[in-house]
Amino acid sequence: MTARLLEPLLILFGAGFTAAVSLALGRVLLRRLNLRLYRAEEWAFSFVLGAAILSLAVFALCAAQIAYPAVFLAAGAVSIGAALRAGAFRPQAKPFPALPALWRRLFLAVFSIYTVLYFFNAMAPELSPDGSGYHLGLVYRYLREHGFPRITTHMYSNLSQGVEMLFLFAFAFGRHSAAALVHFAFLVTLPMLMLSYGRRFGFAQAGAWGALFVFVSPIIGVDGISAYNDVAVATLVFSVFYLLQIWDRERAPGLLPAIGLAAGFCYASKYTAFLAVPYALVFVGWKARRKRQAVLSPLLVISLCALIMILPWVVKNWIVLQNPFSPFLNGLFPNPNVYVSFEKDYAQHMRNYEGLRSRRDIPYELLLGGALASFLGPLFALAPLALLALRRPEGRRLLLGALLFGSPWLTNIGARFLIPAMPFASLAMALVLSEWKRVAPALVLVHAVISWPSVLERYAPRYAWRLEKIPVRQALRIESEDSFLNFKMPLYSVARMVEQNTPPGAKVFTYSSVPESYTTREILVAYQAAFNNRMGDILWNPLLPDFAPTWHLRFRFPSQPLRGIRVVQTASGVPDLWSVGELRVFDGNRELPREPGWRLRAHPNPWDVQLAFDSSPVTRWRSWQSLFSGMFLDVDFGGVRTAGSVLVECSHDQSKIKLKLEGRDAGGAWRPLAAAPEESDAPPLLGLRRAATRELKWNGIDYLLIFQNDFGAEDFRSNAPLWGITEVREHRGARLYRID
Amino acid sequence: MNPPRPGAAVPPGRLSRWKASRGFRYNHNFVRATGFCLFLLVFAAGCGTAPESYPPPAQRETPPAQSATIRHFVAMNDPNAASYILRDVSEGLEANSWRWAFRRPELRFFLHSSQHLKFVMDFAIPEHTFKETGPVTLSVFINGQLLDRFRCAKPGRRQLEKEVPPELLKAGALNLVAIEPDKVWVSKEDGATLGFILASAGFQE
Repeated sequence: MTARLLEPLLILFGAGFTAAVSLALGRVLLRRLNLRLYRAEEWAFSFVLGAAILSLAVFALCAAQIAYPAVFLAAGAVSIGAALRAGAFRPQAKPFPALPALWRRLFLAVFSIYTVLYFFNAMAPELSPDGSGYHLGLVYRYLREHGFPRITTHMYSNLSQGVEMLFLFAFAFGRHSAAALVHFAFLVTLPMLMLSYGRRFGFAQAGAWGALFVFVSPIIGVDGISAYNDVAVATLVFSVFYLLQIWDRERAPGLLPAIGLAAGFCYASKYTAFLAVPYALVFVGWKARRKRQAVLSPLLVISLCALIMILPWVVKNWIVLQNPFSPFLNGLFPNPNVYVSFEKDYAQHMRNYEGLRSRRDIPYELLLGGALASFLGPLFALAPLALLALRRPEGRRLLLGALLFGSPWLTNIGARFLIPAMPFASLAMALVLSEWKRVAPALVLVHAVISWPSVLERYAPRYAWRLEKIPVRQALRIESEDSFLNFKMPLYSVARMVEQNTPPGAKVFTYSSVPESYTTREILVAYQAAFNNRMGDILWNPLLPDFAPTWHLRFRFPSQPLRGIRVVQTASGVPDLWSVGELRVFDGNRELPREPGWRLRAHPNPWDVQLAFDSSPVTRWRSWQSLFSGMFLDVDFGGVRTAGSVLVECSHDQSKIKLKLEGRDAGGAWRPLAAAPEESDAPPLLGLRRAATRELKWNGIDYLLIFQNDFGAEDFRSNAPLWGITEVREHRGARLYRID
Repeated sequence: MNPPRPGAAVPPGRLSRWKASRGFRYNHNFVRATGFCLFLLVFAAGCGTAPESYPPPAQRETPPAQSATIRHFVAMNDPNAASYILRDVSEGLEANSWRWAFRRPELRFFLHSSQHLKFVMDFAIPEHTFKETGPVTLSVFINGQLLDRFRCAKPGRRQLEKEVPPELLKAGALNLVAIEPDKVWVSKEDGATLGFILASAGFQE
């Protein structure tokens, strides 16, 4: 009973403490920068900039491996104490002139009602797929390991995680819901910023209505109450824009570091928000040049302050993953952790959502469908009206912001990738609509009514991601988290099944994601890293005859002394991936033993070359890139050896490859040995299933989690003895197997 | 020195002295120094390179019978197919893929394990022999014991697949497989017999 009372208190403390520390740090920073802001702006920017500093501080604690709740508590208390001692919380700024009473009441009414809805949803147990999956899964892992472990098997850990650092700070005290409430804090800050922006620049009415257009939108609500980061990113991006507009008017030098920090925090929070940095630099450079002011100095200040926020993530990736921008740009920064072909497939997948039947459906799905993971709300059908704002300078600025920060949507057509553009588009819409008296407030009311959960239920698709009610009992933990999640989230109980049926430290391989924040076991998802891709490939080998190395390509040449051989692939322009199961060198009928002095090389993907020389029928070296001429596998014998043939054991899933053989003669010169191989087929192999699971075991994987819709699920179930696995537990169509 | 009261007008000189007395405050030198440190950090982080070459890895245990001369399965175009054939299969390879099987073809296979195996055979009943023989029933014997009978009611290519009880098999030894058609085609000219077309046979999991 006490624990049940304590839980909501800890949630509120975790989120409140994070927000308070952010505010304290931000207030101190603003005082140091000596900015002249209005009171509402001071609070909002304090939170945003303080969150940036806190995020950086948590990163440093994680890097130092001292991410303990006690350390967070002490650091936070010191920050708040220092801010209080410095008088940073004492109001100095003046308030905005009061809004007309009618507007104020309408704004406050809608804002308050939706704030209540959002607050209880954020405080309820975390249900969101990505929030309960990788966002908080990684946060939980950092907390368990008191910092950053060296993770190379989880592509989402490679992304910048600035907002997740704030989640970690809150999670340490109040777990999942505390983290979600931190995102909720950004959710309520965003309309405040938009309103303030309108008030400062002379269109308060449009500011108020634009703020509510965004705040009430179904996607903003459901994303902002989850442990996601899109609404936080929208808040940060809009802050950069807002600070730049103030700088343009006042040219206060103290604004430049604030702009730099906020822009850098955009990158630190989400790669796609990196655009805030070039936007700030171009804006300041252009404006300074037009007024014949110094250009270099302000640009330097912004760049360096932005780099303070950006570089920790870049350097972390560079050190751990050998790619500063992992999991992207792997062609530019070749590395063993993320394959080039995966990046290509992933990008294509993000541009083609499964539920989307046709490109022509995109506008409908964005407005009120569910195929793009949620929807903006029917009000945004009026978004084209925003173009009329081009008549005004502030409208042009807003529309440029919408265009720029909405452009990453082209790389991922999910509706939430439009969130960073929504504040700009909404303000531009409101600018136009507020020219007609009562139209904008009427639209706000309609938007508020049709975006309410019980109304959404009447017209929104059943499976669209949206809010359903005000979950007071669940938020206050009158209904336990376990009971609620068991009912609402089938995968929760699968994660718990894994937790309860595996020993601590167990590694579980699966083809489908699970809400990893609800288990302490390491979940390796097949698509999430190069290592996982390889394990998935090995496990599919016994199931797909085309994956087995039964296609034998033998190069014959006159027996001769050689220092090395090289198999070169010369085809290009086709999507096949070249692979080699085994590469064997013969002198007559005798295979040359693989001596320790041999040196093996491959291009591309040199890191996996040993897989073609390990005598395992289930492992293979793969190029993990589409065919291009000049790919090779190369053996240096470390001395002169006599050889007369080379056997390349391949799989049939690469029909377009063209191979030739080169040899390095005793004098060290490379020359052609055979232009083409003889082809034959070996009989199907026995024991592949057992060999595959044994390979996984050698790679530290102890368990398989196979869902009923996974490829080969029935084979795992019916041929468990052949695989050498034992079913530990089945739950809701997911089977947990132990590798024997 | 006491800080200025909030909102109170502060003379410029006093404000800057007060700020200086509170430790850090923002100035461009700080930013430049930080930038230099960050540059050094990035420069140092970019020094790693990929290894150029690797030695051969530890060799995995070769799966059972993978490298033996006689294995668990044979395709008739395998250069080593003759080692599997004991009787009643033609010596000549047709169309580079199949051979004639006669009255009671017999093959041998080495099996490391007797568990979880099925007998598989890719074969065909040719149309011109079927015209005379009609439907054919093949009896498959493993180590002399009947595995099953398979009726071929139509000519054409067939894939036979049947789980083998472990007790019929010998682990770690050669196993004999005989396939006996109940009818064979007999040449009216020279009395030669033709049973069926055999493409591949053996054991799989």
